Formats: sequence, structure tokens, C-alpha cells
Amino acid sequence: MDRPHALAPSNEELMSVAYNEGTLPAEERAHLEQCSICQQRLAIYMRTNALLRAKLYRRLCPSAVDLNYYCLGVVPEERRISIASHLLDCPLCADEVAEIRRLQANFDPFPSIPDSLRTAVRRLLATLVVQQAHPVTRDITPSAGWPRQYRAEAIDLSLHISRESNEEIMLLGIITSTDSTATVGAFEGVTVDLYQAPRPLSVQSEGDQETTTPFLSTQVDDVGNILLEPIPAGDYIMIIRLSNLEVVIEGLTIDHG
Amino acid sequence: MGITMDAPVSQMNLSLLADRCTDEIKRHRRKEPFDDRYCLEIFRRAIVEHIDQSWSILQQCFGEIVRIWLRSHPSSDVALLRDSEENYVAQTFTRFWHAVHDQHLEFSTLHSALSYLHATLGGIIIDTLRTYLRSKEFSLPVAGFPEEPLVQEHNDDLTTWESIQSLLPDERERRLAYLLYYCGLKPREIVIRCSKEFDDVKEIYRLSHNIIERLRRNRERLRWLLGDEEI
Repeated sequence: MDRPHALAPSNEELMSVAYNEGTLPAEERAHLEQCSICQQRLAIYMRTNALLRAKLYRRLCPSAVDLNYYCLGVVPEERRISIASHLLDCPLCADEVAEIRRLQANFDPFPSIPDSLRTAVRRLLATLVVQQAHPVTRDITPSAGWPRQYRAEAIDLSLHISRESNEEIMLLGIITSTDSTATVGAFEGVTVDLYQAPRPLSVQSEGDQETTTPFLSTQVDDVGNILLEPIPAGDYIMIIRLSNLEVVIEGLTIDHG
Repeated sequence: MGITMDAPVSQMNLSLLADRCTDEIKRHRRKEPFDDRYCLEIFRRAIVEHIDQSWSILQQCFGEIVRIWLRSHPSSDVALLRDSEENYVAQTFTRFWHAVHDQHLEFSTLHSALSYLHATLGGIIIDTLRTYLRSKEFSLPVAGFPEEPLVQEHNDDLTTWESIQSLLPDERERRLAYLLYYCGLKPREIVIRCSKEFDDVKEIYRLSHNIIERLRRNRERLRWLLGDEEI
């Protein structure tokens, strides 16, 4: 029997919830909140999925270095056959190989020097200095650890998240400098990029999306405010691109809780 | 009028060879006619003759180029969040060294040598991102999950996977288990990426349920395979 109760979610519905891909109708959601049996069904799905993925994820894939050598045609015959066979099964490696072949086909041993090397932009990891106890804006989500205060040299960054009336999440920030000579508008126009924390290259390249394409971008306004929206649940990395410095903020987990 | 004749490349002293190599790299950059013999000789002495100083010169001459490749790589932004430029460059040369020795490679053109070096860097970048992804997305975060399964001590990965497959008699379920657990794809991703095999997400949810039911019927064996007491 699929459902232990008339209002209980079906196995398929619960599995969609376990994979964070579906939402239940209101009645079934209410049932799930009350029913320990259905909660246990969901917990089993989630736990078993997580365990199997943790133990099995790409355990037998050739290393990406080997895939690169395979694409160059410099691996021994036996290994070549084994990798070719694996590629028939594994869409992740197949996508990586497609990307590797594209890069190798366009390989220029002596490319022009990228601007980033000429200007020698420094990259600095911001340090989380404090997680404030209470939110500043309306209707803050219940996610733990917000708002947050980061510091990178003379730069202070305060970040918090807010839920809009349509349930979308926005990430708000204010950037300031501890340098007393810096004006309030010192950061006006600075680009702020938000990246999704790394997924497999193959997934990232889907739909011609380059790996380095930010998920969201914005610019700091004239008083140092940053606004990024809408933001789905997930893990993110923010990069604030100053003229001679890139400030990286890791570990931004947005939970729609 | 004096004419300076270079010694044959194979007899040239290393510092002169390094100078010539640097000049030739500049010529390459300017897209001018070049002579690869000097650069290739450094590779040969480093790789075939195992001359340590040649290996150092090789890294000096080509380290900057590897750094430019790294910066030009489509995943450089994300990769440099995970490790430093210096480490990527150092790892590239180390891995290159081991690979050319393992495979007894010699290079007849500079392009082929640099292609191999470039391939090594590309692989290291992707491997770094894979490792990060595994630790970030597919680790077990909740207390109560053992950090490292004891299972690895007596079961290699291939045996584990084959044993789990053996618990799934249906070919379609085995394939789905591979895509879900081995590839870490979510059902909707499977429909997008493997639409010829699975075009209905509801079917995937149903089969996923069946897989979990079958595996849980063999809970003892699964516990032993996965090294987890709480399954």
C-alpha cells in the first residue's frame, strides 16, 4: 500500500520532498507535520539517499588528470579501453571529457597574459567576525547565523537576509571601511558577484553557462548598500570586486526553512 | 667580424640553454619564428636524464606559463577559492613528473610537451573541484554518521558498488541507482541529462522508493557494506 493514511503523501510525493524537488499540497503538508509515521518515511528516504551518495559518489571515476591524458591519447591501451567503457555509463565523466576536448582543441601554449595577471589583483578571504543575535529587517527567515559581520583588512561587511511578501529571499549588505580617510561613497559602483558553490563541472556547463558566470550580480550603491535577489535555497560564495582587491565571502548558506 | 657559434644543443651548458629557452618563449609569445630545440633539450635533460637542476630550470622557464593557463581556465575563479596559484603550479609539475616517468614519455615537439603539462593542470583543477564538491555536497553532516567508514578497510569501492548492484535485480533500478547515488544526480537532473533513459520524474521517484525498499530488506548486508549502523 502506497499511503498509510488517506491524507498521507504518496511514496513518490515524499521522495520528491526528500530530494528537495517538490512541495506537498497543503493538506498533505499539514498531515506530515502531525504524523510520525510519515515523518519517519521521509527520514528514511533522506537518510538512505544521503548515505548512499556519501559512500558511492564517483568512487570509481577515473581522475580528471587521467581523463585529460585519455583525451590527449597518451594513456596505455588497457587504461584507454577501461576509461572508454566508463564514459558510456557515467554522464559526469562524459561531460567532463567533452569539456576537456573543447579546451584541448583550443589550446594555445602561449596565450596573451590575462588582465588579472597584469594588474595582480589580490584575493582576500573575508573573516566572519560576528553573527548578530537579531535581524534588522522585516520578516527575517529563521535560518541560523544571520545577520553576519565580515572583515577583510579595512573593509567591514554586514550581511543579512530578508523574506519578501512573495516568499522570495533577498540578501542585503552594507559595506564600509574602517579607514577614516575613506568617504561614505568610496564603494559606489563596485561589482558584487554571487556564485553558487561549486557543482559538478558538467552540471555547471549546462545551457552554455560558463562555470565562472555569477549566479547574481549587482553594484554597491552610493551609501554602500548591496542588494541581491531573488536567492533560492543553497550555498553561495560572494566576491566583491574592488579595483585592486577581491574580497571573497564563503559559506553563505541560504535556507528557506 | 666575429661569428659566435653555439655548441650543439646537447652539449650546451644549462644556464645558456635556459637563456635560449627564455628567448624562444618570448618569440613564441610575439608569434615570431622560433627554434624549439633549446626548450626541448631542457625537457629531455629533466625527464630522460633526471638532472635535478634541469628540472628546476624547467619549472622556472614554464612556471609562469602554467600560471597564465590557470588564470585562463574557465574554472579558475572557483578553483582559486579552493587552493592557491602556487599550489596548483607546484602540483602540476609534480604530477607531470610522475606521469612522464610512469609512462616513459619523451616529447618530440615543444607543443606536445606543453600540451601534456596543460592537460595535467586541467586535470588537477577538475580533481580539486570534484574533491570539494564531494566534501561539500555528499558528506554526511549530521552527528551520528561515522566520519570514515570502517568498510573501506575490507572492501574496496568496486566491491561495494557491485555488492549493492547485486541487491537490485532489475536492470532499470540498477541504472537509476548508479545515476542517483554514484553520479549524485537528483531525479530532475536525470530527466534533463539522461532523457533517453528516463523521461518521467515520477517514475524515478517510484523506482527510487523501490530501490530503497529493496536495499532495506537487505539491511544487514548494507550495513556491512556501507559501514553504517543506523541504516
